Amino acid sequence: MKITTGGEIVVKSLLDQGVRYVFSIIGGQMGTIYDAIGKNPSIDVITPRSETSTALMACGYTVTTGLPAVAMCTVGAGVVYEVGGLIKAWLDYLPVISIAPQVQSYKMKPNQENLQACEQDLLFSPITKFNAIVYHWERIPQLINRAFREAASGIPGPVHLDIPVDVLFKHRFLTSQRKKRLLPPPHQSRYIGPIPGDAPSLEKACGLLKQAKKPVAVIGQGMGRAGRFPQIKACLERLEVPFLGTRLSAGAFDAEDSFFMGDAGSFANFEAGRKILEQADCLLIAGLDPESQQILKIAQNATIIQVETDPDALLGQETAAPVFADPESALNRLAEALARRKGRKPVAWKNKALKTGEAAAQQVLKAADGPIRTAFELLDGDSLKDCILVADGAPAAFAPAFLKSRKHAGGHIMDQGATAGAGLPYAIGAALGNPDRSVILLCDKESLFHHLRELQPAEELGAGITILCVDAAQGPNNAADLEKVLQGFGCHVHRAGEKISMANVLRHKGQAGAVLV
Amino acid sequence: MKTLSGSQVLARSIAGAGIGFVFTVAAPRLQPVVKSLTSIDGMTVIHARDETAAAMMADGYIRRSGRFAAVLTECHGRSLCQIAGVTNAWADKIPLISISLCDDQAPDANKGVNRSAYDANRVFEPVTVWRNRVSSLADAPKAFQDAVTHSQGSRRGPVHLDIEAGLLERQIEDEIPGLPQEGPVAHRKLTHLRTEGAESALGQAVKLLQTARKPLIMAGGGVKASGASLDVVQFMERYGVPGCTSMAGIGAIPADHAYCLGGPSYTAGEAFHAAIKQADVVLALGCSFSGLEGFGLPPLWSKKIKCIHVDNNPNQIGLNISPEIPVLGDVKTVLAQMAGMLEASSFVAPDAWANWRLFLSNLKRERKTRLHNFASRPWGALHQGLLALEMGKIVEKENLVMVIDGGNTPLYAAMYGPGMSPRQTFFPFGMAALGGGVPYAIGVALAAPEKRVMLITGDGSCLYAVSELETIQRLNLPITIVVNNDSSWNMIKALQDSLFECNYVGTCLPDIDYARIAAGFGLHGERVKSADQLAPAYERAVQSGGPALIDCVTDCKNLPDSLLSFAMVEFEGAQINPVKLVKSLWKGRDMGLSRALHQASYVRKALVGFNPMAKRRV
Ligand SMILES: Cc1ncc(C[n+]2csc(CCOP(=O)(O)OP(=O)(O)O)c2C)c(N)n1
Ligand SMILES: [Mg+2]
Repeated sequence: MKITTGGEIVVKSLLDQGVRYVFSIIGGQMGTIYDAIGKNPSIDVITPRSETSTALMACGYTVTTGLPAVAMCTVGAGVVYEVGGLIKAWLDYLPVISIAPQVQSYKMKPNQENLQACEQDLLFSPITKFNAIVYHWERIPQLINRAFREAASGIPGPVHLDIPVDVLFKHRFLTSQRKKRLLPPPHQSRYIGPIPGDAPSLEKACGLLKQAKKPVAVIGQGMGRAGRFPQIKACLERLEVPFLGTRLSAGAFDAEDSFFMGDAGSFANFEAGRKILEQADCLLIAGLDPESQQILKIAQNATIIQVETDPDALLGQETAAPVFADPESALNRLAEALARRKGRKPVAWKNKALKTGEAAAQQVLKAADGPIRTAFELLDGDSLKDCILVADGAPAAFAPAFLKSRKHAGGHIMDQGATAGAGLPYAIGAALGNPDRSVILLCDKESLFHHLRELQPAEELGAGITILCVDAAQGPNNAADLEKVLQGFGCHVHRAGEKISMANVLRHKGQAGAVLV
Repeated sequence: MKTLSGSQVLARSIAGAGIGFVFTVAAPRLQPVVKSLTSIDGMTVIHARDETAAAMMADGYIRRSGRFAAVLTECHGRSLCQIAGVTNAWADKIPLISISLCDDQAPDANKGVNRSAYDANRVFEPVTVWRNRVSSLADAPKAFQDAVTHSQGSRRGPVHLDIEAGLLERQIEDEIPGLPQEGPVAHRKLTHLRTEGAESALGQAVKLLQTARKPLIMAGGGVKASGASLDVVQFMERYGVPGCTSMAGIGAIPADHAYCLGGPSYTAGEAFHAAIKQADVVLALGCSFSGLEGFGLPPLWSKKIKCIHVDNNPNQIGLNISPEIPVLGDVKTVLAQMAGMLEASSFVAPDAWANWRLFLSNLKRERKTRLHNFASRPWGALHQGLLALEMGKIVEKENLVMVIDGGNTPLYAAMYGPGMSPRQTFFPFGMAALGGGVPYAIGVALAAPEKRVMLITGDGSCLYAVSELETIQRLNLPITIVVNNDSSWNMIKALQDSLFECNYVGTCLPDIDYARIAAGFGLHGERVKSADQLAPAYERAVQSGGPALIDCVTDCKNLPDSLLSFAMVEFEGAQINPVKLVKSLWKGRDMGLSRALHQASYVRKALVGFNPMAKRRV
């Protein structure tokens, strides 16, 4: 029998779910959680220098590892910083688990001028798949398991739990038996496995695809990345249908994928690419997202097959074959059907589509200005092979086109319009999750400045990332001398041109290094 | 008829609402709006590096200037990043105008697969007093007028407007009703409802006050909002009533006034504790009885207190305490009415009040001496109290404006710092949120161009908005940043000391040279390790002619004694494991005997209230 606090139950539940890192800045109400973390060697706290980064680091960590990531910020004061980062998890379909303490359960709602408190459950509600307040100690494991389930199931996304301080500090004597009952094994808390899918609509989809002469696929929602059906690569190879990826799957496909046409954005903005889409007679969408929706609008003549892990995401009558299934299962079924197809494979169509994809990428790269091109030149070659590349700021617009023709998987494209400067904390999260890979942040000065402070914990953690920053285009009115600023944070700064190669800089792993273009 | 672009309509609507300062972060879609704004005479647009900071700068500007300012940002993450600043304004009831772009598509309440269709307006709901979404240019002028109006209704606080981004690309031919003509902006001052108190309520209030034996004035943020600081002080002096301030009311009564108990709320230590245990009548002025003040309720407050609660917001009265006499009204107006009634009845304060006052001021004096003696001991490293004391002297001598940030750091500043006037010291107390120091200093400096600003910040807090050192440098603002560098998130480390057997997790920071970081941004930076180096370092900082950062190395073993009082409120209702507590105290012996005794004397005098000497002295 052991005295167990609410905080210990939280940590035990997180451990059961396989959590290795909690991205967090402490607040007093989290005292028992931190105490329990400190006593357990298999789980650690990573402390950034602003709560916004807790969620952004968690994004970078989970998206590159497929492992669960937790952002934990203190009541009110902390969570209001966090939302600006968690929105990225929401927009990018990332299953980040957000947990925060609340003030006393008996006076948190409605707010009555408690120190630091606000009705944070309302704050999180619009940008999470699921959020709840844990009013009772006994419900902690159940609700944490539920949070993980909701985050990962269907279309992934962030979730949030509020746990009041009295619940976190409450302690009970717990017999091992009762503890067992309270904490069910995680595999009993949710379904993990394939979704073979809705058979009749799959059947129909097979029929439609078999008839298609000019099929195109779009892989969206980040499918293909770590933790989100990475085997889809092999399925697409078997399927032999030319496909586009969206920004969220940027890291998943590269030149080695024989049917990869590049990213949807570049392709759709390219005259010949548009034509291909207009000519397509069958459009297979796996994972609807804003970019695949754009493609859908262009491909007016195509019959639509849609594969979703969540039936709620299926479009209504627009889709001829709405398939609820996981994309690996569905694509395998479709590939089998195509293999049995009589008649000739649409080889000419495939070649044309792929060539157009190549041309679209070239056109994008041509538009890049000198410094950005120099940055890409630096990235070319073997140094890049096993790296994780996070692209942010102005270069991010060109990075998908650059990555398309390289044998390099592991690119991540930030959306400068949606969350500014997420690249740095995201890259740090990625570095933590991938200690044996180098992480390069390709960015510009504007984007780098948003979360510049995180260079300090990056250095402290030895999560050395290499920054390749386009410094030439002076952002509007940024007067700082970037070289000096970075040196102030202990970065080794090099200027491109002086016989510098990325391989050289990357050799000093664990140290923050920067190359300015 | 002239054709106007959406950006022009927006800019003119902002100006038309009397907003003369706009804080923003450069983004392509905002560029035309910014261009239109800057073409307006008298409009100032300030570019920050990050949206969170932009919002806090605007908040700081309003707090110091008493004039309207807005924060303008792009959509999604860029918009949500400003919530941290908006929330500070909400908790402290500051009428900040928050503006963001949003997607044109209608929000999807069902949270479907198109995630960008989340309802941005709703995210702001819990931390604003009013919100709206502008979907047509014709509505823009009124929307901004409404925003300004609602930001200072009975519920003062931030308001949020989402502007559909597509509007910026629109052109409009016809005249829009309510759109002001081109011309300079008439930068509006915040206004305040001058609500009179009802005669009947005031009659009872005056009667209760006259019968009091131990009266106490509690001044909250409402005193500052009402501009009634001087009136409160005069009232206290006229009748010899001792007074104190809530955290939000810091500076409403200068802490060094003879009748004031000292720093805000519990930072006044035993003087405040004795006052709220022994007072029989409390005249609470514009005070919300928040968690920072222990809600005005037992166990820290006496349950026998009869309270006269004066507030402009009917929903604030009775929220936490149940006042004997609720008075709806503006502090300044009501105080004048009460003074008039007391005069008319030729009221003379009884002798008992003088004794009561003397008792409290003895406690204050004794505490001050104890604190000063303690901080001035020959410690190995610079004591935070001494740091606050030395900096306080400079603030007082040079009449600087002060901004504070951190956990323990603000408590030290309040305990050891000088008496402040109402708009001289700034910290977002309601949220007690870290990280606002640099942006608040910028906002305050912009609102006080004739003054130097001193920011005293904890080391944990000082990096949150470090990118804005570029903004400080670019605008060449006269800001001196003083870092209390104790290499820890010390307020929380203290909790691990006392409850978790020194199991330090996530509270230790490495030895970081913040002066070097600041120097990277071009600021004058230096590191200081002893008290006698502080004044010369400050002198050099001023001599450098620009902004500067002084990194002061302090000892993480020190704790502000009054932290314990705040913790009692924060952890009310939380089960504390007594075995762990005892073990923690035992392990905490590294702290040293003298620190333990110092803290013990706080417990005895302030929390237990055992202080026989104090009674004897009266
Ligand atoms: C945004 C935010 N995050 C976390 C907290 C919880 N918190 C309160 S005090 C504190 C430590 C502050 O450290 P520092 O700034 O170094 O000041 P010190 O207490 O050391 O003086 C923390 C983490 C908070 N109040 N606000
Ligand atoms: Mg500190």
